[in-house]
Amino acid sequence: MFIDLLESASEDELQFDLCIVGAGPAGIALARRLRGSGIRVALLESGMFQVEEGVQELAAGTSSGLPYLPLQATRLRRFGGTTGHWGGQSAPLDPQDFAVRDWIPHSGWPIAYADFARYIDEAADECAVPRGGYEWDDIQYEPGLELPLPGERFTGTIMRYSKPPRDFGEYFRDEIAGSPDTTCLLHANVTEVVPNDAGNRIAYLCVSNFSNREIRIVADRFVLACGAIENARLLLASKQQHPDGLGNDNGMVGRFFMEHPNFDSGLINITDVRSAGLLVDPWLPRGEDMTRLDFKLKAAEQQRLQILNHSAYLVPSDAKRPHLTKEVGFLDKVWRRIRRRWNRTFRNDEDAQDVEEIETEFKVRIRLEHAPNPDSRVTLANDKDQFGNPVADVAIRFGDAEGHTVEQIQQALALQLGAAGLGRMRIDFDPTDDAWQELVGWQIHQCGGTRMAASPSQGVVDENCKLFGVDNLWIAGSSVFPCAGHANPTMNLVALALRLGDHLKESNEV
Amino acid sequence: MIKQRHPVNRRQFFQGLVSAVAVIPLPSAKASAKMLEYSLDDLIAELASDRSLIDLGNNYLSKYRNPEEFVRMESDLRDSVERAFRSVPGDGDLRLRAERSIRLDFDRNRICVLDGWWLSQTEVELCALAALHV
Repeated sequence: MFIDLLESASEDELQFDLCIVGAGPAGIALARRLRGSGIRVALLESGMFQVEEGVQELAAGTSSGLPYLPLQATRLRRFGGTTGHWGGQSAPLDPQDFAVRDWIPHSGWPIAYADFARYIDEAADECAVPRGGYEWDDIQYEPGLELPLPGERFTGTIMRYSKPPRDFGEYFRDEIAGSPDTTCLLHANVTEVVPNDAGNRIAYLCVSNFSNREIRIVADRFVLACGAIENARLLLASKQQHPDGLGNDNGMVGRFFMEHPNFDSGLINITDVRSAGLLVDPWLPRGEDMTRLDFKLKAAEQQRLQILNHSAYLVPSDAKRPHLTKEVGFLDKVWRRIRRRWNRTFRNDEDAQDVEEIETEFKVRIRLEHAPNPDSRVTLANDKDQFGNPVADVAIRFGDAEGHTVEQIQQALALQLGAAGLGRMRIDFDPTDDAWQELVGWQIHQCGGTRMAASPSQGVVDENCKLFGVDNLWIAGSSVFPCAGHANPTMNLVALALRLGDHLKESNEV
Repeated sequence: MIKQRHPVNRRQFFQGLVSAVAVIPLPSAKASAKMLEYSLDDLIAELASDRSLIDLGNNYLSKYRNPEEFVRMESDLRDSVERAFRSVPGDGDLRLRAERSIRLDFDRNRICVLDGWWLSQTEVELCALAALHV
């Protein structure tokens, strides 16, 4: 059922077995997983079914690292959370994302890949994404498909889509409304997480209904599922018994914040667009499904080159766009003339004129793993929100690994294009000049900040997503990712939420 | 021997670059019988008929070679190109072997970077020979 606290807040205290803070994809998936278990669940959402201006203002914050997007534009405070502006693109994390890669400090998850991967199919169902078929090995024997970049170094990785992107708020609204186990409290903004006197258990949550009413939510167990920035912010702002913030005795809350940078660079002349196949037109025929085939360097190559995980695809070059290669726009006419002559001379091609309109100049768009970095972090800013709590400050920072990875991918691509006779590439990237970092785009894939780790000195939650040092508080969502690979996080965080749901059902930690 | 050096602007350079890419492709079946008779001199002469390839060759020469040594250089370049052709497995038409040799350069990291473009050492040397041929 739904209860709007702004309309009907008659009691000062509400009690449940388990309280989930945040009704985004993680919170909703977790609540659904707990159905039928006999656990009375409260699902707290600060907003309503649609974005309300006064509520959305709570998503504002500041940025002090690399240039980033306005925080209030990257998140939605409403039932369904940011699935309201989700694009639907999905792929599972890779096995190497879970491995300790000795060339990437702080890499690896404390759980095995298989422990996560067994939830991917169900997460795909939850997100309305087709199951399976994410790797080149899954599809390579289908007729008419060729790897975009032949050879031993590259492989394919497949992006699948929820089409139309499933808005968890719209899709699951009726189900939650009719659920006897789940009470969704709307206009329920958590202002503080309050522990007991010993500081080792959460006693209650302070919740405001946006009308000067404060309500206590009491439960045996609590789960924060507010998104990567808000999970960290809420812990840092909850200072009773813990002056540096809840769960922050080791100063780890907010650290290792990660995004997925994407970076367009290089100039690639494709020799014959019609022979380049999926390299220049990566959309795979899949009936009603949208599916895009990206390329990436194989895991062994990533190890050999000591680079981060990534995926990449070619995009038409746009000389008008401010970019490192903006000087070479005049190549358009030259290349078309040469290509036409070539096709006529060597291919006896009667249709040579027709290919003039096909794009032949491309850039490579690299979707990059953001290396785990303790200095890339969420902290509390000086500005306050309408409830007097500090807003979040996000400082995204890179180390050397990101630039090194872009450089190595470009060089490998330039070699492979030439070796395959596909074309030539101009590389104009200098990793020693940090200017490139100002030009990256962000995929709005906020991860980390409350990372999963084997010990409290390395992270914020344990392998079951439970806050170190607190007996009855768990965290759901991409904030627990210790490494975020290159894959879009939504389906992956839903998989982890399902895993957490099973743990909460089965565990005796009350 | 080259008689006159031409200043190369960016447009000419890139014209030369894309020409080099385009001029060494696989021959069509229709043309292959004629091409069997091709020698390296024929290929160089054909490349030298294209202004943009000459510019590309000159660009390479100006960056990587000493103008005082052009005579010896031509011999060195020919040796280098012929070595590259011989390293291609199997027999066949010279153009076919040139094209394979260029691809192999990328496999073997025999790369020449000109103004940021990653080019095969063989294709650049062919253009340089074309420039010296003029």
